[in-house]
Amino acid sequence: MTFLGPISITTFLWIAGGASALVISAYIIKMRRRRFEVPFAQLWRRVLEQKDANALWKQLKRLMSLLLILFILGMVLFAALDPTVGAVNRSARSVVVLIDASASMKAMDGNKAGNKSRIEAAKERADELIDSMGGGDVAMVMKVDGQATPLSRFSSDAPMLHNIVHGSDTVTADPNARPATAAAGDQARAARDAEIAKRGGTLGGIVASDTPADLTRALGAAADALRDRPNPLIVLISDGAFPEAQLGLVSWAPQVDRGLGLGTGSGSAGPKIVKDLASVDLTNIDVRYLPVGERSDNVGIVSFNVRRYIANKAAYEVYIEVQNFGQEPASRDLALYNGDTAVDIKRLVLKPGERIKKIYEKLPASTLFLSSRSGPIVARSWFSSVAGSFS
Amino acid sequence: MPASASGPFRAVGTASQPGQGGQGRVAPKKNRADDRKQLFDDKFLKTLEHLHMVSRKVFAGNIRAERRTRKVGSGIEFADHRTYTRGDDFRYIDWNLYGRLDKLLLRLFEEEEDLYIYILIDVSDSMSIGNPPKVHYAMQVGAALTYVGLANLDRVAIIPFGDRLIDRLPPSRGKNRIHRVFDFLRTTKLGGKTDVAECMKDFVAQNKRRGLAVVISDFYDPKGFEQGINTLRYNKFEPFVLQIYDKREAEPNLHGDLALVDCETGDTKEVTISKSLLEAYMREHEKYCQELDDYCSKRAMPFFRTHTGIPFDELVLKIFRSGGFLR
Repeated sequence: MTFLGPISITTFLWIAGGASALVISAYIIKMRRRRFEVPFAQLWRRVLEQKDANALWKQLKRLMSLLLILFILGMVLFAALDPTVGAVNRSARSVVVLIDASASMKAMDGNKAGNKSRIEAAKERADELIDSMGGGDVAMVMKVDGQATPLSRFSSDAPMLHNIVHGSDTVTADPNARPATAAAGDQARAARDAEIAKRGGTLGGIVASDTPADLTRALGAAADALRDRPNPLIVLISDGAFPEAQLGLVSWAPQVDRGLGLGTGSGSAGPKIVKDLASVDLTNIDVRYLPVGERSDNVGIVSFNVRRYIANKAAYEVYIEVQNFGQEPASRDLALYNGDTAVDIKRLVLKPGERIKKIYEKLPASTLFLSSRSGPIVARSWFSSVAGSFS
Repeated sequence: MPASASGPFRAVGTASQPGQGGQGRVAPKKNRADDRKQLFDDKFLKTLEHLHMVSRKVFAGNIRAERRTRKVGSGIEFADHRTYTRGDDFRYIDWNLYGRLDKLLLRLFEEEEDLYIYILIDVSDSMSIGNPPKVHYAMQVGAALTYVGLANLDRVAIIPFGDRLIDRLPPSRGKNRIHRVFDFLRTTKLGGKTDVAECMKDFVAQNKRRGLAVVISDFYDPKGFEQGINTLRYNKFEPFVLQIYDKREAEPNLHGDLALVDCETGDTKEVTISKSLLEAYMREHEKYCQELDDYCSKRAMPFFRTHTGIPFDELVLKIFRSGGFLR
């Protein structure tokens, strides 16, 4: 049996001794009965003589009550040691769980069947990670998209951390969903804000955004949060699709897993990789990477913009940038929709890491809603309700 | 806690004194019963006057101020005849009867003497318990009986006692002595254990004039009450027994783990008060009181049992109506 609690045996013995002394003192104090003056104690003595047959049982009952209290105290202290059968011997750690919520995490290759998104798969990995936390481990959940957003404080409360990761059904609705009316939008936002406030400012479950992940900022924030904490650990759960500029700051090197049940994954970034970022001080911080996503190919819209011409305000120009984050060449259809009607569909062939820019000029003014889709990825630009799609 | 300081069971300090055989002793404390300034106020005096008037109505027609005894002597009321024997006073020979019957018969007269009433008031520690303290109640009853006795021109003495006779107000007569009685009762030292037997023994040794001995006490005597009362009887006193208790002594409202300290002996008994134990105690208390009642009844001694909740004047009237005190 191994004790996972953060308390050393010596400290534990001191605490146990002190608590036992307190209990016994309290017991003795209780034994010191209130004294009451009676006019004729002989009457009480006569009565008690008749009851003395039970005196031994009464004494035993008192002794048993003390033993029972001490037994309960012992059980409580034993539980505080967090005993675990067959557990590894390690000390408590402070963990920052970085969950990638960039646009690429919407890709529906979270499992082999292709019916689960990467963000859902990332949440499951986060769940496994939280469940594997030991007695003294504390964790903080941080959402990584265009910015790094801490969703919790350091806590060992697993249910609370699970709730932060998943949230409830009432607030997990897509924040980018288009409200039917402005009033309905206000009401939805108010309800959402109330729910967020109720749950301590969390977003009620992590959803993938439309922005790329700012890895540098996230690692910097995690490093800051872990400063001066014992056994710091950063776990990054991501599909590995980071912008070129950030990837350039990262050098990847494999490292042996030292516990915590971190999975290996089969994503594009490979198993158990440590990042060494020149721009982020990660000295003495253990950094782990948990990849999600079944396919190594990863093509997405990384830039999307719509604007009117200065000379002709009735016409629009759409700018779309598509990048292949995978290590294999990829072929995709880029479709531009006006509402439900396709305006243009083009076949794009992208080399590994290639980024292609497409500009659609002089689109008609009647276009009210444009969307650009690349597979499951939808990019929207609310410019007079204009959006583009790519598939 | 129902058993407050004002109840029959007083919460006391937890300090124990060494050298008491391992049993806790109550630390010296100021006796609440010591405050007797307001005990005999004007209202009390008016009540006594009322009681005196009522007693005169109740016993109208009876002889007051004098008591006839079986003694023959210099009285003026003829009682009986008896045969002359040598040595009798010639002056009491009924010569008329000698002329008719030719027998020497002596005329007997009832001798008149004052009645001596001794009011014996228990002032031991156990009497200081209760709300009001039982000793206050006992003193009021004693003062009321004294007043009526004084008003009836009886000779009344007051003798407080505990484990010994503490003090003594010599027998006196006349209503005007009542203020002296009040002063005496106000200043009487209180406290001590209860030892009725020893006190009665001393009492009969010190008082050769027989009379009515009114004993007012709770009779919480570890040695028992029988010997003391018997001492009075055997020495030709007429015992008149008044037992006073506090209602909450008979029906205490206690619970939990307590250390019960005897207010006189300091003996401590640790108990866990349960409902059944409380009921057993109440039965035991009732049994103890009933034993005293039976003892007195079997020996034709007037006995009254009362608690401090009953106004003292009611008790005094009850005593008058019973006919045991006034004749």
